[in-house]
Amino acid sequence: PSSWTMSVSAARAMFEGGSASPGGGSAGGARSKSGDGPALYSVLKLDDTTKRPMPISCFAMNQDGSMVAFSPNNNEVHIAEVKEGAFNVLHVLSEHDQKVTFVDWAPKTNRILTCSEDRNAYVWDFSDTWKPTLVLLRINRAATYAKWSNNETKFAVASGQKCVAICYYEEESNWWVSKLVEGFESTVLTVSWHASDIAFAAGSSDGTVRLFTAAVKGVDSKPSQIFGPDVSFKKMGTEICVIQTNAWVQDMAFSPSSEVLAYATHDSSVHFLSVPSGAAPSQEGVQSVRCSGLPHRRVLFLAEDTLVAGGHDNNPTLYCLRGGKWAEGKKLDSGTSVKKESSASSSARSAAFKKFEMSSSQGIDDKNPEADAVLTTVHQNAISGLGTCAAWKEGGRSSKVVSVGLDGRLCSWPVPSLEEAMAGLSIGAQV
Amino acid sequence: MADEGTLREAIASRDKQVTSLLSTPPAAVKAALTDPPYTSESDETRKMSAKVVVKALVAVPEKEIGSVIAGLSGTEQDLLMKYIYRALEGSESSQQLLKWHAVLTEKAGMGCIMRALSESQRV
Repeated sequence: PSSWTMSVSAARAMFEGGSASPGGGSAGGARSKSGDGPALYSVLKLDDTTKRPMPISCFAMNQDGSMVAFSPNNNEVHIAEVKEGAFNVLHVLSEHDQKVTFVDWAPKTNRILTCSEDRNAYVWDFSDTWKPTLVLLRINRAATYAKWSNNETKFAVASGQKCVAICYYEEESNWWVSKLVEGFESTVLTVSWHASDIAFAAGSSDGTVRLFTAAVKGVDSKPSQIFGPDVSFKKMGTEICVIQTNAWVQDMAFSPSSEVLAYATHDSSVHFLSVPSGAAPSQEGVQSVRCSGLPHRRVLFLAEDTLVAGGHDNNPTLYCLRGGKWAEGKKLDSGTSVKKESSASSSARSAAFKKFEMSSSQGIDDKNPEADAVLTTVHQNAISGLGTCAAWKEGGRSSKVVSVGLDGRLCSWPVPSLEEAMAGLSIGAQV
Repeated sequence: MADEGTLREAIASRDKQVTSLLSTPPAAVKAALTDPPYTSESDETRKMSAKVVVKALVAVPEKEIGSVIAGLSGTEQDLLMKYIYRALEGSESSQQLLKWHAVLTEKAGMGCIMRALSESQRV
C-alpha cells in the first residue's frame, strides 16, 4: 500500500483566516509546524458549515487498507478510498435514521455491517454502489456493537436490550434471521467471535464477560466439544461461563488463535482470560493488568503476544506477553511530535477561538497563557477506533496500526517489535 | 452477610497493631491497609476503618511519603487511593491527605484514581 504520509494541507488555512478553500468532503492532513516533515495525522471529515473536524464514532478498514468506512458521529457512514495519503469520500451510506454505533468490514466477502441506535442493522453489498439489506434484529433498544464472524457467514449485534442478536442468512427465505441470546443484566457493549465461529464472548455494563455457544444448523458444520464434554452446542445461546469484573467492559478481542480473550474495563484495567481448549474458561484464568492512565475504549490484537489499546489517554498503548505474563508496554505516541505553536504567527481571530475552545474542552483558563493549548499527543481527544488489515501483516504480526479519535483525526503508527515495546519497562503494574 | 461486630473487632485489632508500629511508618501503613471492610453495611464501621489508615498516614514525615508508596504493591496502592477518598469525606487531616493524593497520583497514575472511583467494592 502506498504511504499514508501527507503533502501540504488546506485544513490549516481553513482554521486560520476562513479563506476560500475547497470545502467539505475530504481534507488533507494538517501539520504541527508548517513546512517540514511528514504530517502526523489526517482529518477524515470536516463539518460542512463550521469547517471543524467531526468526531469519528466508529471505523473499519477493508482487507488491503485501500478503503475505510467511518461514521462522523451521525447517522451516515462514509466510504473513502485512500490514495497517496489523501482520503476521498466515494460513497455516503445514509439508510440509518439515528446515530450509527458500529461499522464492521468483512475482509474476504467485502461486505459492510452497520448497526445503529435506530435498532436496526444493515448488511451492505458492493456492485457499482453499496446496496443495503435490512436485518430485522427484533430488538427494541439501540444496537451498540456489531461483528462479523471469522468465516463471515454470521454476525453478532450487541444491544441495549441486554441481549446479543446472532444473525445468519437463511437461503429459503432469502433473508437474514436473527436469534436473541439473553443472559446479561445490562446493556451489552461489545462482542468478539471465537476462532471456531461456534462460540462468542460478550461484555456488558453489568461488569461481566460471558461466553455463549452460537452453532447454527445449516450454516455451521457439526460442532466439536471445544470446551469439554460439559458444554453442549445443541441449543444456540447456551452460557458457557461468566467472568466477573469490577467495571463496565468497554471492548474485547480474541487473540488470533483464540487462546486468550482480552478485554478492557472502565476501571483502567486490561484483563487477559485464558481460553484453553477442552474446558470452559474460569475466573482463575484471568490475568489483570492495571493501566497507569485513563481507561481504554478499544482493543485490537496485533499479534499473538501483542495487544494495542486506545482510549481516553489519547495514546495507543501496547500490552505484551512475556514469560507467560501480560504487562503494559510502550505507548505508541511519545508525546514529542506535536510542537508548540508560536502564538505570534496565528491571527487574533483564531487565537480568540482557541482560548474559548480550550477553556471549555480542556479546562485551561486564560489566566495562564503559557499553558499548552494543545495536548502533547497527536490525538486531541479520546481514541474511538483502532484498525489494521491483512495486507499489513508480516508473519502473523501487524506492522502498522491506525487509530481514529473523537477529534476527527486518523493517525498511522508503525508497530515496534516485542523487544522494543517492552524495553525499559518493569513488569510492575500487575495485580 | 456482614457481621458488623466481627468487622469492628478486626478493625480494633488492626488499630492496635498500627499504633504499635507507628515508629516505623512503612510497616504501619502496610498494616493499616490489610483486611479492608468491603462487606460492611454500616457507614460507622467504614469510618472507623478509615480512621485507622489516616492515623498511619499522618505519622509519616512528608519527605518519606514517596518511599512508603514505592514500597506498596499495586493492589495496596489502589486500596490506599480508595481510603484517601473515603477519608477526604471528613474534614480532618485534609492537608496531609491531599499531599498523599498528589504523590500517589504521580507514582500510580490516573488509572489508580479511576480504579478507586469505579470499583464496585467500596472501602
